[in-house]
Amino acid sequence: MLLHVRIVCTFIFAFYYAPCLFLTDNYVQRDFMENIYKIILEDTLAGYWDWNIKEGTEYLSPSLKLMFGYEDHEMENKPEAWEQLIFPEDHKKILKCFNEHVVSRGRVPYKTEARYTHKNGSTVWVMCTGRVIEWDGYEPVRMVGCNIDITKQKKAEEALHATQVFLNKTNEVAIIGAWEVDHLKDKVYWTHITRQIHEVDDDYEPVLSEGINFYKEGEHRNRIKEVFGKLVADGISYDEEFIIVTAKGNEKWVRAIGQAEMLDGKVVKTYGTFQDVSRRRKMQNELIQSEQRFRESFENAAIGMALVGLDGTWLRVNKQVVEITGYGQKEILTKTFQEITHPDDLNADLDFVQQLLEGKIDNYQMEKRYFHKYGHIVWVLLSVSLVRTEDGAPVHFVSQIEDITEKKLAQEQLKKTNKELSALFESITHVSVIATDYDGTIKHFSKGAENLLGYTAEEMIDVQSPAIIHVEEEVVSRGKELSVELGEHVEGFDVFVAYAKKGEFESREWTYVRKDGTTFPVQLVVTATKNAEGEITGFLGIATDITKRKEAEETLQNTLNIVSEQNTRLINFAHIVSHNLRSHSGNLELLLGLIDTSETDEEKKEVINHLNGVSSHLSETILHLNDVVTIQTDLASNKERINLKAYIDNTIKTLAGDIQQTGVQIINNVPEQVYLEYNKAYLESIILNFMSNGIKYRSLDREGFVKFDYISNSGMQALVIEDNGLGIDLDRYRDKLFGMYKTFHGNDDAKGIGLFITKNQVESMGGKIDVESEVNKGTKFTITF
Amino acid sequence: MKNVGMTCIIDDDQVYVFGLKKLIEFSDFCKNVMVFSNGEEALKYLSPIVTNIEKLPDIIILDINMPVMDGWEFLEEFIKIKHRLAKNITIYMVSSSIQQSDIDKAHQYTEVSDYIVKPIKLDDLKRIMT
Repeated sequence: MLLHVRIVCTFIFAFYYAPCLFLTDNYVQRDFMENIYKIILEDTLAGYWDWNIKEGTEYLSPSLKLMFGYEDHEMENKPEAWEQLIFPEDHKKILKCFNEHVVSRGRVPYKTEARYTHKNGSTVWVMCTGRVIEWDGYEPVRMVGCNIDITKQKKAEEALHATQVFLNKTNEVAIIGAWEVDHLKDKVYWTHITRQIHEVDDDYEPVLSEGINFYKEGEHRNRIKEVFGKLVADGISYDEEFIIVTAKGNEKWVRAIGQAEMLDGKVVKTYGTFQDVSRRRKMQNELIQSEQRFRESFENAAIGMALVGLDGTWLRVNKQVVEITGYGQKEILTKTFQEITHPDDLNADLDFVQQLLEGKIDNYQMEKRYFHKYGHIVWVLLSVSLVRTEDGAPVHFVSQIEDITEKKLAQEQLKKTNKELSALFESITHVSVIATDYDGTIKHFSKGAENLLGYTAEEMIDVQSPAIIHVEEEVVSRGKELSVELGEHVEGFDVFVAYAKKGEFESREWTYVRKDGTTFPVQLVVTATKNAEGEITGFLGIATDITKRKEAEETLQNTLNIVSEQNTRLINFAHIVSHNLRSHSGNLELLLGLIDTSETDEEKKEVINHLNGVSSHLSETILHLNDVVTIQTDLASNKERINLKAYIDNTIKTLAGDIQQTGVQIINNVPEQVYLEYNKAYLESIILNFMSNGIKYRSLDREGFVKFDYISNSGMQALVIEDNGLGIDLDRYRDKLFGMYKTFHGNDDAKGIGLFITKNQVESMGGKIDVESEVNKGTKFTITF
Repeated sequence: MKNVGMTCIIDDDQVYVFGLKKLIEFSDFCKNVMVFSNGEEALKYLSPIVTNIEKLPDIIILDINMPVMDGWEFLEEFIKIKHRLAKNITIYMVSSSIQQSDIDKAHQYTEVSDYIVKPIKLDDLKRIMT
């Protein structure tokens, strides 16, 4: 570029010097010549002037006047006419030049440039030349000259200069160096920048044959040889990039431009520029690489990638998109995403697109359905972003499309299963299903749980932990057990899930506490819930109300107890049969044998007396047996409302004879308002037994008493019967106290049946008898009804 | 035939005692019979005379079920004074109980020679005598 300007410049100067005027000094031919010149000059574009110095007149040719914008008649023919138009400083210059011409008697030519003001106000550059043609001694008399308008050239020159200054500057900045080869002189010129690019000193003198060596050997050097050869031979310009190796050995990318100047079809000069483009080249390389990378990642991405036009047209898709949609690479370019999107998902997608375009969002992600080419539905996870130009205008969308059909189907299946399961859970109203997160916060609270526990799901979910429905003491004590079992401290929520955390499931009985504070037994199974990776995410506690089972168990236990009691009674019964009945039958046998051997009537009579005794004992024993059997069969005996005090008083009346005879005092401290729900016959029998025992086993050493007291404590009723009689050696007899046919005092009328029957009666009514006694001090029986 | 000097009956059943005494008389089982209606009474008698050969019985016919002190308790007490006894006393447990547990328990005592189920018969006495 720079060289080109220079060439133009050269041309202009050549033109400038070309029309030289030759004026002769031949006086003889003067007039003739004068006229000739005048004609020539007046017809030329140049202005002609003829100055009579002595007379002070000056002829100004019309063309000269026209130069300043005036018609011939508008300017007078005298020096003052142009003196008014010339720039004052240029007038001085003209005068100075004129003086030198005169002083040197014409040897120094009168030739100068001056500026005039055109009629229209513009500046007119004029090249003024002239010569004194008549002398009066040393005085000039007449002078003629020629003025040429050089305004255009001057302006061009100025513009050129400005351009040159600007170019130099910009070249320096852009690091563009220039070169020029004068093939005629075989001379090479490099600018400062060119030298810099080649990393040579400023005094380096380039040589054409050497210049080629800067180009990197091989492809680059060969190419420059070729293009430079063509430039020199045929004037074919080039603009190419090469790698050069600088004087310091650095490799650089340069852009080299070469042009030729022809003369007569022959290249005389070549010139061009050098520009260091390493940086751009590097950036370009990087760009290419990054584009390459993008393309590769685009093509080889594991998920579908697509460039989509603003109208939804597919612009470019990778293989995955082809696979996902079933459309071919080219086929899909004729479609829009709208066409293959499921109508139910389209609006949501278009909404997002709109928001993207409006700049409200930078990208979006959604699950949506495409119609595969073959008609079936493909679920995808779509991620879309918008590419904009630097000034923000949308260009196209970049979409990432992941096929999630399988995942989605699995999800749907899971949802369905979940729904079914939860429906199942919800339908079971007597089973509590509670799910928690890992830390124990309740996340699910089934209908059954609501039903059984009285809490609503809203009250529990995300708020409570299962601790609220448990009995604290139970949890604490289980925690201690677990701590021992597992050898680590277990407390709080971990008590429920310690085994679940170890991958085991645990089923055990707990007591649940309802919202109203009441409790019920449950069988609780705790398992861990896990995610796909097998990590525990929470726990599931399924509890079954086992109240009925418990009740059944209790009933069973009661039945067992009854059976075992029955068994005890059976043993007693067997004992009675074995011992008492047999002793009577044995005696009968013995006595009957004696009758045969009795020799005297007296002896026989004695034996028969004994037989009578045995007979009555036998009847008595059978009655006792009857009593015992009655108790067993009387289990469901009728209860009646009985006034305790009145019954004791009645018994006192019954035993009035004995009481009077023995002088034992009976003290009835039972309050009048005390009533019992009890079997009448039993109560009579019990009170009679204890009262008669008290009388029977009185101490003969002191005034005896039998005292009846009533105790009631939190729903429990008890009768305390205390005497100051003989007492019983409990160390010896505690085991036998209530046994059948056990007697302790050696009294003849002691049968050992009373306490046995009493105890059975009390126990058959669900009560118990406790005894305290000290020999010779007294006995205290406490009957808890 | 052994010569039994004195037989001690410990039993609260008066009818039985009457019958047994008749049998003993009839069979010439022994010269003398003493009767106690429970273990305690018997022990009260025996304890002070352990060294008196003349007064000690040769045989004790012991009932199990008795008031105050039953046959088992008597046996326990008897074991305590046994080593001081001036002569060997043979004990027969006689009871109307046919429960195996009672029979087995009786046989665990080395002091008890045999367990006889009531009513005791003439043959039983004859067997003891041989």
